[in-house]
Amino acid sequence: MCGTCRAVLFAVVVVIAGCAAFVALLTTRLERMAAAVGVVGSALSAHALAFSGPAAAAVLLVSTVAMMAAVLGAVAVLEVDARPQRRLQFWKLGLLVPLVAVVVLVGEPLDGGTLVAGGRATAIAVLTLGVATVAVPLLVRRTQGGSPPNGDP
Amino acid sequence: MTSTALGLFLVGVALAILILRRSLLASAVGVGQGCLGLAHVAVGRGRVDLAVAIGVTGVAIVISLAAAAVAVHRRRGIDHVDELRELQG
Repeated sequence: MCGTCRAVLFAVVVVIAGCAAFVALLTTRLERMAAAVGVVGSALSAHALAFSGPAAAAVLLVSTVAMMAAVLGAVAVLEVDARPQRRLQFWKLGLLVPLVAVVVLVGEPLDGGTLVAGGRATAIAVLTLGVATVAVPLLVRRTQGGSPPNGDP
Repeated sequence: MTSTALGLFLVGVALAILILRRSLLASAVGVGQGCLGLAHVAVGRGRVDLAVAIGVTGVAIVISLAAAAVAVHRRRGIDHVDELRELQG
């Protein structure tokens, strides 16, 4: 696999992980959290299949399926889906920005400093998360402010 | 490529989930994500055997937490039924 393909694949996995982090931190429903983690595990498995081999990919995929099957089974047994919806707390997204910055600072030296393309992809993900942290609450507030209080169109 | 950074990011998100949510099932999801991140770090550094160990441990912990959540829920339900019977005399 060429270097550009590797960089693109890694960027796709980083974006998927970032989006799944959004969902897992924002949603109030456990099945959506479990689904987000399942998507992350599948992306990690694809990444491991491309870079490390089928054995590593199988380990990650089997672990993901077993973990999420246990969680979704418990959710189905408890029927926690019937809980009322709470307000979304967008301030949780602010945790992601320093988190990603710390991870980049720690992860780059651990990987030997040879991963320029991956570092750029991570920097793009940091910028995307930062912009979305500001933009998503503004968009939602504007949308909610334009509709009547009872939700009728 | 930066498997360590990506894995550490997932571990950080898992820690955020564990801190922000206070239910056993959410903890199970967070532990699962953290173990996946650590397993990815191990895979990225060529330690598939370590990744297997982390994955098996994570699965065991997640199953235990899910079973504990179900047990607590059922116990509370039984307590609730007992309270109703006591109120009804």
